[in-house]
Amino acid sequence: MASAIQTITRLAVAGFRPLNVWSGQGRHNELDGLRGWAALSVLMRHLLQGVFGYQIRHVFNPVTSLLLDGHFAVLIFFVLSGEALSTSYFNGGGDYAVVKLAVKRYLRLTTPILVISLAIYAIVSLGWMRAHEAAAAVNSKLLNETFVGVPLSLIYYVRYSLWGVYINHVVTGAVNPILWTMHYEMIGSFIVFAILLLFRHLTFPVISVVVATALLLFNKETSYFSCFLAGLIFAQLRVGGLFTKMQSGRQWPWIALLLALAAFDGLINRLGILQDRKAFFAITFVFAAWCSKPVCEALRAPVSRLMGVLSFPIYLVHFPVVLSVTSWLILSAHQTGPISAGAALLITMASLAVSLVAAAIFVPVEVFTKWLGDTSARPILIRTSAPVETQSRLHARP
Amino acid sequence: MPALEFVRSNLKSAFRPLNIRDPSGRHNELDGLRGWAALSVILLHQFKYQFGKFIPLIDNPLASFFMDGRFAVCIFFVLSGDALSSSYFTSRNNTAVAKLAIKRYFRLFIPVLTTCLICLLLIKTSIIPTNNIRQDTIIDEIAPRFLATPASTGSYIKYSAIDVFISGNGESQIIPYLWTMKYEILGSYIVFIFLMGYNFFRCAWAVALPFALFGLIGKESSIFSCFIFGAFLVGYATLNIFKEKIVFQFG
Repeated sequence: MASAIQTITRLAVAGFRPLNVWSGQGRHNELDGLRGWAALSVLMRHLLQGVFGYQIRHVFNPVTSLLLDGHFAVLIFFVLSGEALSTSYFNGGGDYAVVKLAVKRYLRLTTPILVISLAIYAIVSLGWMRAHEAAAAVNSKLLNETFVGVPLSLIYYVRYSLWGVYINHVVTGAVNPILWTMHYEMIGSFIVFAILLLFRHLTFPVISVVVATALLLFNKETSYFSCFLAGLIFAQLRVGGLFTKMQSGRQWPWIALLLALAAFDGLINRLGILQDRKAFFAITFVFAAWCSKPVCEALRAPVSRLMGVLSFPIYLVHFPVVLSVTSWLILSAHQTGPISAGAALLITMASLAVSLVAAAIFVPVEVFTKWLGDTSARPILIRTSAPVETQSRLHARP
Repeated sequence: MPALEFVRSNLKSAFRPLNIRDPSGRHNELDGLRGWAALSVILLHQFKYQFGKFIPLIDNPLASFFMDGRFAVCIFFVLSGDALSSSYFTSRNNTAVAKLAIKRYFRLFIPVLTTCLICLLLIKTSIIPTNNIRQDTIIDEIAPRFLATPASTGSYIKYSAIDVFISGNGESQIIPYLWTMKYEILGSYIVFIFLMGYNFFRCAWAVALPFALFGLIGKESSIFSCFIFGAFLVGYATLNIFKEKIVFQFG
């Protein structure tokens, strides 16, 4: 058993090397780890709540509430995006690093989205999409609202992938409604780029960003952007060594804070309150995770990093899996009568396994996207003499 | 005409802080075009929207151009791209862009806030009626959105500070005509990012122009294209951009 796991891990290491996830150099693996588990949380949320919310309602209790809180996980994604996009700037890459990322950003998001939209188009065209029939069997809102106002036109699917996904963040007309986050992801990314480019021109950059983050928290929609800004601050704190310092100190306060936040999230989900204030808890949660050595070690573990590699693919592929495999399983199970909680749980587990396999198959697209981004950025960008002057404020100061 | 002279001299001194009359470094034609475009928007809102249903003659092909608000708004966006990038292309100084970027939010927020507070004052003094609204004009569409926001100082400040820049043409709009602000702020920051990264491109326009042309296909994305084309106009006028970059690359 142990040798089998070792072999699988070794193969995974070799297969995913182009994504640079396994190299410790310049990469903070705990970010990948947390992103991976957050993606899994979104997937489970959609399967358990979105598809089978009516059948297995008792799955949702205060303990599981955080683990299955898709909205909370999405906010964590935003914090992680903000941090990942800022790290190279604070590591000395300066403005050049920001511009390079900005140039690659559209391709980074659009290429996988286009591939998955074409996959959905193929599924629908071949008649494998059984979501609406399955929706009636399990009384699922998620399945029922799917493909409202989406014509079966290849041009529509391509147009949606190229820009509709970034403009329209409502379910109606969405080829992949799970991707409502892309609107915020794109705008949030460019807010981060703008702030990084302004950073060295500000008199009090960190204080300004902290104040902006706090102000943006007061509105639900802007609170998404506050997550990106918090990530930017975390990137600077990390380079400044704050998290390393915290990890060498007492650990129980951070563990206690994480547990308290988990319990609190469970409570507010149960009561249905403070849903618009979750960004604050997500930011605090990520901060506490970075300060906690055991949590970071767990997030750096190979399994977490593997989940990190699969995070965006999981996020993208699970919707077509739900449309086809999950819906087909529901309809098959429904032929013998109403779906029981046990059957729902079995279908969920099967869908989870299929999603993970599909995500692994999707990894070459991620590798291609990375190659495409690097290849297209290289000929259009030049390192001018500016970087000496454009080093981040942090490094410019003695 | 001493009275006319008196008015003119007073106007001149009143507008001096806005630097409109100073020909050095300011492209007055931009201000002029912006002014006529604003008038076109007013004509659309005041005549076509208000009386279009009663007087169909208003909606004729000739008047249609002068009351084409959408066209005028697109001109605004091109002019914004132009105005925001002119200081960069004349000085090639990132600090000038950074200064504009930091000021940009307040440049938009303070006038919006002032207008909203005036609206609030007019509502509180019942000069703007919140009931007995005519159902047969454009107000029919606007009033529900206008009234969806509670008439309180807090909500009006929140709208001016945040909502107007994110909600677009949403349900709760105190001033629905300010749907443009969302695009104005986003477009402005797209221009700023582009300018601050300009030096890192072999030929920035070889990337930006295809993107801007591609953006013209979509209704919303075409708005952002306007900003890029505005920046291109000033970039092309100020520098011989293509020649400069080719010399840099191969020279």
